[in-house]
Amino acid sequence: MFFKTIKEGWDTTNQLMGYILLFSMYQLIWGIFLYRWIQSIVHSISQRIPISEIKDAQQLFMIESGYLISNVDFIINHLTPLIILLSLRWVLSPLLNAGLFYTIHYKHQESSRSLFFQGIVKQGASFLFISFVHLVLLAVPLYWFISFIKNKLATLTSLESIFFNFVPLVLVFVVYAWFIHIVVIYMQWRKTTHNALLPPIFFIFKHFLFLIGFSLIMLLLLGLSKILFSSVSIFWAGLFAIIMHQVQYYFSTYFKILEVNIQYHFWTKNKPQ
Amino acid sequence: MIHIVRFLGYFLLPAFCLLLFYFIFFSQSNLSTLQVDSNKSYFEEEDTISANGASTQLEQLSTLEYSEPLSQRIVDYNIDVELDDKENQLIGSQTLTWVNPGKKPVQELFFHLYPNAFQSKKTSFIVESGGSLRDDNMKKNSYGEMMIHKLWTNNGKELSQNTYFIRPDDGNPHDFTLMGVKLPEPVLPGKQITLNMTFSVQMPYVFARMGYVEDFFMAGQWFPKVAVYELKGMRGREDEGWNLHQYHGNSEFYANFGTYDVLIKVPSKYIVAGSGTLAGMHESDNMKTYHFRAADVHDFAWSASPHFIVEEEVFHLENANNVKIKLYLDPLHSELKRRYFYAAKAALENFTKWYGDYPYDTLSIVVPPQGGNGAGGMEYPTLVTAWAAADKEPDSSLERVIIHEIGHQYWYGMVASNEFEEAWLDEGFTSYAEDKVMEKEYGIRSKTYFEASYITSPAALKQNAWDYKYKNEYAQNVYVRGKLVLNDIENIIGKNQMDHVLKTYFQQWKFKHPSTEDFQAVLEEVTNQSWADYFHEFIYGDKMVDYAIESLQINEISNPEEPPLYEHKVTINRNGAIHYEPVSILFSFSDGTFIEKEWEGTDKNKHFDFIHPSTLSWAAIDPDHTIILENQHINNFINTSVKSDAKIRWNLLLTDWIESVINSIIW
Repeated sequence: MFFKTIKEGWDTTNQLMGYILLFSMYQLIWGIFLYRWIQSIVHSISQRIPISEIKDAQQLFMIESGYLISNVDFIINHLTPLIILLSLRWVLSPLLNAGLFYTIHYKHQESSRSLFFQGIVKQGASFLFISFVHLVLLAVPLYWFISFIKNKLATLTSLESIFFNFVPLVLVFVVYAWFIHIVVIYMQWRKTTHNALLPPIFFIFKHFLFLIGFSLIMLLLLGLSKILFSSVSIFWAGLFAIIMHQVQYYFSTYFKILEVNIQYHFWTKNKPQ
Repeated sequence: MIHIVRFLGYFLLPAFCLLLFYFIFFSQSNLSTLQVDSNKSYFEEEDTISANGASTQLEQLSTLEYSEPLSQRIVDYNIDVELDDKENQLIGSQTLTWVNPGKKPVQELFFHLYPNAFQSKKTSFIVESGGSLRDDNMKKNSYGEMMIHKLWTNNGKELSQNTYFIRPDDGNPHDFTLMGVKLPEPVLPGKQITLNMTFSVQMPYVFARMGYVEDFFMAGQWFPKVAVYELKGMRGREDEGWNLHQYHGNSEFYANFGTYDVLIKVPSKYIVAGSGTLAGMHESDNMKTYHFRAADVHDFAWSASPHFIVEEEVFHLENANNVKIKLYLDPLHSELKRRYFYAAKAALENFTKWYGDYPYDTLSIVVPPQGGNGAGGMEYPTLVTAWAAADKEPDSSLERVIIHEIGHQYWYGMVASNEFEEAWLDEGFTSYAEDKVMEKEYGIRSKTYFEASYITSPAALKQNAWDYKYKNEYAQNVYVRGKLVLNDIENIIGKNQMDHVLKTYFQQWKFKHPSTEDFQAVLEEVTNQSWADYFHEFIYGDKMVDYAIESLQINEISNPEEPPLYEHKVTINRNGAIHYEPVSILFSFSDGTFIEKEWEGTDKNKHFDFIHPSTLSWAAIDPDHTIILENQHINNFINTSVKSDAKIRWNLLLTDWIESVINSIIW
């Protein structure tokens, strides 16, 4: 059943090539903004790294850049573009999902209007609400996490103790975020197929093992493609690396939509009546 | 199969679009810079009148048994105190005689009850300091406080009902560190009043200069201490009156000069170190009583431990009085007495030569035990504490702290500035003096440019200690920036003239309470020039010097018959105050040639234009780091030859990481 679901997901994914292309262009554009933002920072930092011939200048650079990083004004100035980008994406993302999910579910229906836009109009508001809940669920522990780190940092001195104190916490947070992610996906499916907002908790617990297994497979696929493309940019820097970097948007979008499709098939087969 | 073919087809289309995007977005490059705006607020310069002393004829305090007065003795304390080492308590009684130095009758007296800073978590001290001072934390539930049990005048009038607490700085109702006493009748100008009181002090676990660690006790700020009565004209005051402040997280002390006669009763096993001279000691009923006397000092501190190893040496300098140096060592440092003595003598010798005599006959050095750093690194008149003994072989911080605290005997002990309101006059001057001795005696020269880097939040030097935004801002300005400003002044006027300035300032103001303006007046008198602008920027203001390479443009001038030339345009900005001498800028070209330029540095910016056969590879402002107050070296350098491959690699990697996180959550 597992492979059958994947096969079905694969088939419906390939029927959505137009959307995959559209979504990867969308991510590519954000990627370019992100790249430009990082480029401006890396550039402004790297051109200030002094040569070793000037006495103590490199140590001064290390000391002062350390202070700059802990300077709130400096960080806010430099983070503002990223924060604006993220906020915009956080608003657009549920609308795109609304269209995508609607399209997948109603793909066999004849309609004169685009299913995608119908989806945005019909369930965009609900998806925005779900996305807001998602944000709150992620932000609350993150807020606690950051204040915990701030307090802890004052007492921890060695890198080792910082590592051993924080890595488990980060892992716990990642697992929590992953769980929330799954809940949100099925909330969205439930909304699309049943027009109900509450999360299908019972369904999630019942099929917990499948959801984990499937998620791990997708993670593996994404990870592999990430490593592949990252190593390209490490070993062949230059134009080629940039091109390869952009190409990966296509693959990662493909995998993401494949994941959504497989989840859809799994949901429709096993959803509570 | 058909899927795979379609898949590849869809792949080619975006690949084409990518190339297009690349040419649109990535072919340009421009330079951007790192810079932080410095704040542009100034402190108004104040008009000041300085007063060298009072003209009121004062009633003589009955201090005949003390030496000839060096200071205007306004207070005379007679204190009896007993240490209860089981309960970590001090039980005391004191008789204070206070002379009204002003021209107006005084209706009330004010006392600092410093131990009340540790009374609860809500006192101003604990709220401001967050329960930690100099990397030392207040131990949980280890509170301290001072109780006044009885208060009466010499003619027997009970005054306990006439006391009240005031909070002039922050109105914090939980702060009980400043107590007023309404007097039954005013103290007339030049007349005196004697108040008797009994008190007890609960010591906290050692924190913020006082307390206990097992059987080590540090009694600093341990008795009810009368506040400073300032005269008209003194430190710019328009009218005479009390200088009243609570005990704050970022603040030390301020008191009038006077005499102290103190009897300290401890269980027999204890050895006591105290300010002033040991006048006697007797033992009865398993208790020892130490009798200390100190004159022309403005505070009295003592310390007790059964483990002190006491060593004594006499410091002798031609044309100066002998000083008995008493060392109260923690046993862990019993092998290190030579280092302590050497540092103390080096400090006394140099300070005597540079500034003037150390007029007291004793200097006591207390080395607290491990865990007692809350009591460490502190100055009291004729008594200083070293860092707690933790290592058997400590680094040069051992010498540094001794020299620093002995420096305070001059800049705090004798030139007794107001540490509440102008802490830099003590800490900045002492840090400056400490560096000079460290360099002369130990060859350790501070790299001032590293210290300047540390100043991330420059603030005015003349301001209330608690008005600094946070603890580190206080420390980096009062200690480091204050010291660097003095070093900068030295660079401007030369070492000899600086020595002359400091000697004159010390001689003119010892046993008095000068302000920043008084120091400025001495500086102006000795150098015969106005320092108003300089003080306005760096002392009353929060300025640092910051020259920055703002931008760099290189254009190729191609000539068909000749090798190409490159046109360079480099813009240098002045973001901070003006440095007193021209700034040097070094340009290095890829053919190995250098050009060195100088710029007055007075304008807001300057363009340097070159035509050169090769391209610039880097440029650096002040490559020898001679500008002492430059605190942003990071923008003094620009490199044009950053490898673009490395840049792309880093850009892509970072983009990848951040994107992976974002894309795993949203579209």
